[in-house]
Amino acid sequence: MEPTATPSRDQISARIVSALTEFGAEPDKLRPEATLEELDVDSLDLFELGQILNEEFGIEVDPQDFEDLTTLGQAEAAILSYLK
Amino acid sequence: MLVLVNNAGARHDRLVQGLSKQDWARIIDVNLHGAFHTIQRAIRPMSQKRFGRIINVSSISATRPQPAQAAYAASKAGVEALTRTVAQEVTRRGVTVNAIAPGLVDTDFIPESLKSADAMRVLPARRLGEPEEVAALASFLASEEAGYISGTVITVDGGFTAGLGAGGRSWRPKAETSSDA
Repeated sequence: MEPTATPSRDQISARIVSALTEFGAEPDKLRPEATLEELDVDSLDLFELGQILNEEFGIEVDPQDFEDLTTLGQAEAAILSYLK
Repeated sequence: MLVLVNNAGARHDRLVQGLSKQDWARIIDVNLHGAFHTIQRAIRPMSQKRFGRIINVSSISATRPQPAQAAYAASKAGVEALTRTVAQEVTRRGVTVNAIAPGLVDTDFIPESLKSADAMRVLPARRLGEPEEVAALASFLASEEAGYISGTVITVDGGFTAGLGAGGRSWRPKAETSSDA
């Protein structure tokens, strides 16, 4: 898929949720304060998420930025910070 | 889709010297690229369900090739490496990825010359395998019970490749042979 022009923050947030659902996370658990551990989201999932965001939105995510994150909200903020 | 069996296969037996680029590419395309494409499509829906079984049909030729099998053997070796790699990526999501390496199985896929009585003598089982004997393993690998088997290649060849003489002339022991150092 070709990256879309300039994705909105909402578009990206929605894609993060849909991607994690595709990875097998339970949709009703996907709240910002949920920890990646309880969502069963690990570093390989975040790597794959970065790959999706790169393909679809052209965002270059550095996997190292995810290293010390514990919650979904923190991961989302780290990704959205690339939009500045 | 919760179970994917990559069973489509093609072979083209030519010595490397006479193997055209087109035939090489066609065999790699069917056997290796085909498996890659179906696996790629299957991973998402399987991950979402936290259950999936990917079974790739390889061949004993991946590790014990005969002359004239360059394209076929290379493609199957690729399938085995693909199997191990994808297993590293998706097993945590309940998706197992394995390969089956059949030996000589009684189908149209193997040349008639391999069905001769002479050929049977080098097979420890003294017979070809039946397709159902390969299918039985596929169906076990597809089951819930096989959830901790992933990233491996299981041979179904009646003992053929376990010996030193796989593919060669049968070795006959002389009576009462022994050696003491």
